[in-house]
Amino acid sequence: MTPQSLLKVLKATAEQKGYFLHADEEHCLATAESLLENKQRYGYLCCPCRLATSLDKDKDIICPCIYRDADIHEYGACFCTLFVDAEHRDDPDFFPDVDERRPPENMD
Amino acid sequence: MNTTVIVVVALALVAALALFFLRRSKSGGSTSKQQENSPALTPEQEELLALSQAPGEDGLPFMFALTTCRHCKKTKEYLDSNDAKYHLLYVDEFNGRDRSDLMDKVRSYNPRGSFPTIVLPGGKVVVGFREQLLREALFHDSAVIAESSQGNS
Repeated sequence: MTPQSLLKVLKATAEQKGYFLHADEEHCLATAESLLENKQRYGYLCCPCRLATSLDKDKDIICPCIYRDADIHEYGACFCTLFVDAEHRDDPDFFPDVDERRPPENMD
Repeated sequence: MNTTVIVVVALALVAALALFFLRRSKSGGSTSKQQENSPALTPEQEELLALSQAPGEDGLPFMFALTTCRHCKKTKEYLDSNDAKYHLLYVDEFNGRDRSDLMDKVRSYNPRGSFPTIVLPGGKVVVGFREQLLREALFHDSAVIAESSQGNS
């Protein structure tokens, strides 16, 4: 799978929920490359902005992570800023500071 | 009678030798598996690991980051473009005990354990790519510290 084809899949599934890929294409491509790198390293599409532990413990951070809805609702973007809401879909400079909401106990 | 004793002793000897080689091969196998899981660290990684025990104490900011994290890359770009001197440790390049110890260290400064976590000299901590906070902490605060130490001398 190429970063471009991964983005195509992520875009289609995101739009079903009313979300969009970030308008900065370079940022999206780089994030997709990191996702594929994690897939190669760990065997699953672990969020590239978080440290992988094991598939068993990281189910909540397989992209798209389970925190995406809450993050987009609160900040307009997910933790990695790969997905944004409709309001910011055309803004390539939209990079809000999204606080980590994953509970620390999930990282052990 | 003598033949029986010789056979028993020979069998015991063979069993002891077999046990010895079996244990040796098991222990050798475990070592090579361990080495496979935790590749040897480079001298630079060894040095960073040592410095990470007391980040910021040598007078340079210490950044805990991930190789795959966009916020980390942006922070690095910002620091580099401002000619800042700092240490950079990629936690995902470590394995096993080193990796979990590093995460414990990151959490001691940033309980959320997110990246990048930058520990500045003096103990101030910046989490994420916060350009303004970094600018203030790295350039304003250090200028104030430099002025204050000049005034004291």
